Amino acid sequence: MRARNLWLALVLFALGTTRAWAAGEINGRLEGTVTEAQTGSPVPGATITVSGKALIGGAKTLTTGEDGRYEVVELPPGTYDLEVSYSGVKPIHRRVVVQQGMATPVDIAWSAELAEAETTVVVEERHLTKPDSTQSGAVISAESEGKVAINHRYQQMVNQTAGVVQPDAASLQFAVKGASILANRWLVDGMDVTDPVSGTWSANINFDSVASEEILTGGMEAQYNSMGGVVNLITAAGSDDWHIDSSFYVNNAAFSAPSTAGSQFYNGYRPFDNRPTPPTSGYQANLNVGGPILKHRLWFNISGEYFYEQFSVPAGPPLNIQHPSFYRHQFLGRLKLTWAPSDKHRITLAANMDPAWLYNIDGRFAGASNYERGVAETQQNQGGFFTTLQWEYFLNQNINTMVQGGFQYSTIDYGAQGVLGGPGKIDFGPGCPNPNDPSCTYDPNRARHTNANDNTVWYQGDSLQLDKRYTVVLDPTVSLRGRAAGYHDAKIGIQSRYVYHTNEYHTPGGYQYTDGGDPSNVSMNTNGTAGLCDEMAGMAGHSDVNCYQRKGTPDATLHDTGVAVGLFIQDRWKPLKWLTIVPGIRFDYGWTQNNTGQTVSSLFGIGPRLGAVVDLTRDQKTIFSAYYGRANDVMSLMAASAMDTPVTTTQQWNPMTKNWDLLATSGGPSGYLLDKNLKTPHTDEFSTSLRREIFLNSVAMIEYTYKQISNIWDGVEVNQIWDPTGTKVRGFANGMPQTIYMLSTPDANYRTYQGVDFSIEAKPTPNWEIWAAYTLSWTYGPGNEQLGQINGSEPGNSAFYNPRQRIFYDGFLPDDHRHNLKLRLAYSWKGLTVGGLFSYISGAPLSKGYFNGFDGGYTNHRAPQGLDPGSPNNTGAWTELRLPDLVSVDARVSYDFHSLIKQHLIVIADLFNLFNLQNGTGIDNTDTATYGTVQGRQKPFRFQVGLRYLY
Amino acid sequence: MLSACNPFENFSGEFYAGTVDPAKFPKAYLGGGDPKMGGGEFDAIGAFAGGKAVMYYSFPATASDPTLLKDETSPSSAYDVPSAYVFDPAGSSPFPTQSPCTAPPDYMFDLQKDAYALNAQGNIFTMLPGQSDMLGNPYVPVVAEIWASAAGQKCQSLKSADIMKSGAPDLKPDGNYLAWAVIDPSADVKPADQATFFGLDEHWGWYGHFLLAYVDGGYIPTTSNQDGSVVHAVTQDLWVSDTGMAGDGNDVFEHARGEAGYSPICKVRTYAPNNPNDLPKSVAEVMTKAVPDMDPAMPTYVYCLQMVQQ
Repeated sequence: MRARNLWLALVLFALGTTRAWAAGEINGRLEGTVTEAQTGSPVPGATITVSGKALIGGAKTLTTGEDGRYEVVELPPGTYDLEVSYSGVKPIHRRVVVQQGMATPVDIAWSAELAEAETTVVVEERHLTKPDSTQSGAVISAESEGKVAINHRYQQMVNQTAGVVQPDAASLQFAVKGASILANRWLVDGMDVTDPVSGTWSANINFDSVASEEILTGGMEAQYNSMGGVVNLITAAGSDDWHIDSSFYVNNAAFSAPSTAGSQFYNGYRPFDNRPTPPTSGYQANLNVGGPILKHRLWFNISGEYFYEQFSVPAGPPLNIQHPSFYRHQFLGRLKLTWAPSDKHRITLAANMDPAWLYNIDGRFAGASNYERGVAETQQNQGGFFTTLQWEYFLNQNINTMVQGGFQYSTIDYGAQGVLGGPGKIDFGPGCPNPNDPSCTYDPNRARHTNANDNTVWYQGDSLQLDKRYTVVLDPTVSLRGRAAGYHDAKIGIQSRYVYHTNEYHTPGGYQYTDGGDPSNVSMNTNGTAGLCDEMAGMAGHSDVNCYQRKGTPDATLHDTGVAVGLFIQDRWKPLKWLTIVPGIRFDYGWTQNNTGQTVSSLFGIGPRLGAVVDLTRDQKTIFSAYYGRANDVMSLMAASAMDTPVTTTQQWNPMTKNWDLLATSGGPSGYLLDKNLKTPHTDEFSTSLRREIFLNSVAMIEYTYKQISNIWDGVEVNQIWDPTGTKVRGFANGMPQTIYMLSTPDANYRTYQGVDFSIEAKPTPNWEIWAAYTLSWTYGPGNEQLGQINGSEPGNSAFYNPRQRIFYDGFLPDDHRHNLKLRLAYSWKGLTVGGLFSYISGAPLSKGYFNGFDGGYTNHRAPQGLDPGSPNNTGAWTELRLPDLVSVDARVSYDFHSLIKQHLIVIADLFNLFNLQNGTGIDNTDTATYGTVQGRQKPFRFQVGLRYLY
Repeated sequence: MLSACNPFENFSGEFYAGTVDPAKFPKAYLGGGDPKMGGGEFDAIGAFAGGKAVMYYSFPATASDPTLLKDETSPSSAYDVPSAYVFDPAGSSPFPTQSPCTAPPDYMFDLQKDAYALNAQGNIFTMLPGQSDMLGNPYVPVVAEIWASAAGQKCQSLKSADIMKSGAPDLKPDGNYLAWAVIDPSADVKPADQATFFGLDEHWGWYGHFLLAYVDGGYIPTTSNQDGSVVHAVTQDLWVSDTGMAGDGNDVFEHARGEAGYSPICKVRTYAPNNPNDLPKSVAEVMTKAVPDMDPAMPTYVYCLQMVQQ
């Protein structure tokens, strides 16, 4: 029987070489030594029994070795009761917390007297020194998060980790120790659900279905292959007990402070701003049910969430018409089945869905909502589903295997709301119906127009992109433990991944027009004629007034594919009780193909890892570690999909010839070149840390990290010939007015990080929970972004678009926040819990943008990144330019009525931005008269009320 | 650790700081354009000298005495045009036929990749249009030459007057003056080389680590008093029809560039043509085909930087 299962595991291994790519730890370990208290000599043959509600299939039992050592592996995260027994003596009990990916050390100095005492008092223990690991980061439990104010998004937990910065509070993306927000790996129950194209998270999960979240920031074992951090989310499983967790949260503008403030940094609230507050609200309902289908054998947990939010921007110039509200409907569902057919097998099947519909998405932004009527709105339908199947097989204490497979489908459909959602989804707004106003009717074939005078947008939403992504993963691993010159805990695995991406393009009306415009026509009185161009200009009987430029993109469907496979071998070798060596190596290969069948990348990388962990005080309470590791990014569809854009032509109206002249071409197969000498993007990290258990369940840590991210993907523009100033193109290498990007991984595209983390995590009593972290760091180099300039989203952010500008891309990166102080604090007392999150982050660097006549925007710089050139032509006047520092305080007060009604009914009050601080989060950094004025501020004080029921 | 975390290590020594920002340049040095919108255009003006067609670039002379180049007679009236470090001038030309600086091996200027050529050393200026000297005297498109050599140096490794002052503090103006007008580097200068798009008389130099563009009008003949404490430019006449406008293509120089008597600082004279359809093309014809104003009440001047005859 055992042999057959092992054979099956090996077959799955072999199959895995054609698919799959990444997996994470979903379990934790208990380890320690049983010694005789008075003599310190080891106690061999003691029976260790571990039981807990998270452990399906019953308790695990083993005996201590000749050296008194024991290790209980593959324990799902949770609280466990540890019983140490020996013939003829009363057993000793401990209650300990096991976290995913971590070893919980429990050394027991045993005596008959101690055994007598311990049978009556069991105190929960959390040993957090990680005595055999080089990995840095945090594991945050749902219990901890339930005590603080958080927006019910699992991504927000990531920021509660040292070395992590959140560059944009709205984006829920994170830069981990100098790597960009596109470099993280996002795992759910060990399965990699990182978006294969964007490199960001791709799935939403019901927050209440999260059991714990591990955030790895460095020192990673060979099983992880991430250029940035790893976020490993463990979702709630069932148990032998029935559980219900239901909650409802209400968030309304009536409970919030107004957001009107002046445009200068020193301006505050405008008390006489009488503009009515348009609707802004959010509602969330959650239901989670878990329990046994077959006790000890088959558990289930099912989770659902409905989320609705509405957000509005007050009417303002230039249209001064109240724009329809942005709103979102989102459904999150998750089912998890855990089956233990015997004590040697554990099978977990999970399915997740997260569809969402976002309407009037321009209505979220002041810079867009007041520039268009509802007819020009854009919609986004997003989400998808994924499913995972895990089979864990425990052959014996020394060998176990896990095979994990998964499939994910995700979509982002974006484009004109009248097309995507149908005309019925358009809110035409005030002044309609008016048959004479084209903004009061909708035609799916009408083109979008932009008035060049005031940037108002008319008639139609944005072009459509229907984007679908499919991922298949298969990750088999074998864990081997044994003794050879010490104790070994090794793991071998293959991680493979197949991804397929398709993108369908459609531009309503065939073109998007930029018109000369006439600002005098933009008013309530003329209801949106705006002096726009006649699309039939040049044809008999048609006017050409105000025609300027138009962009045309033919309908197209493009697809790209990628395959990656990685092999890793790692060990946790303890040659001495106080020394752990963590060697590892991984080999990764990835291949991508674009729409035309060309191989975009075929990359191979070797990622050696070597760490050493020293128990300085020989009691697992003072741990020193040092680490070097390399990670390789061998497969990203970002480059292949960047190539797979349809041909876009820009034409300019020629009033003399009455024709549209070709001005420029971009995209399409002729718009890209492939670099035949690609180098594999990779990260080299050196880190060292010192951890010390300072008092009960409390650890303090200091860690230094040096990290270099090299050969980052980018598109090197090779056709435009810029003048020496880099403000205008004087010719084209091939004589054709087009951009041509060479998809490359230049040596000159790198970023460097140096940082020191100080952190404390403590739960000294059951009432208190404290976590604090301070990071002092520098992030610099030219590697600002990846391929952003190709799709036009970041034309002024790439070192490889305009070679005259390259010198200015060597400076502090936008993720460079010098100081970052975070605090999570909670205190519970008789059902009352008060918790809070505090954050101080120093300002992000900015660069002043100068107008580039060719690009038509403020895409040029005159000083290195992070500097303002000040007065012209004086390098001595170059000065640091940063956003202001930000402080935020979010608090939660909750009360559990259990003591009164014997049911866990909890009333929750969340106070976000408690002190209503409204510092600037964005400024106008362009060389204009409004340079330095505030474009965005912290969200004002907001109150949320919730009700939660736990059974 | 702090020094190790300095990302600006590429900006030490004689680093390149980009092109000069013409934001504060007077209009005359912008070529009639908006540098934000890709710059203006300097079009050479057609004219005649001795009956032959010549071309020149015109810049206004706004000083009360544009011919004054140097005055050291009293501290209160001290004046000197801005100086420039001129590398390896070759006799009558301020530019060497081949720079003695050291270029990278097998170097060929790459118009697409290189912001500036690495096989020559650009001359270094000390003042830009829109700036004033310590006494408040505004910029003029004239420089006092400080002879320097780039022999043994890597080409374009010198980019600021500071490095010249610290490395060769004994270098002083050598008594030669040049008409060099610094212009918006994004402006087009025409006529241009079709291969490089650069103006035929457009050159590239340095100001405080910044790359600048200038138009060359050549050496200025001068006169000075006995002890050399006062230096004036010798001007030439530029005859303009009173029926038209200066710069309309019919101006007449006294001397073409390269001839004895050529000066890039012109005294503007007017004449009344006898036949507006048969305008003079030389000073001799001005005298015969027109009625010259031989005694203008107030002389006016213009910087008239003739192109080198191709």
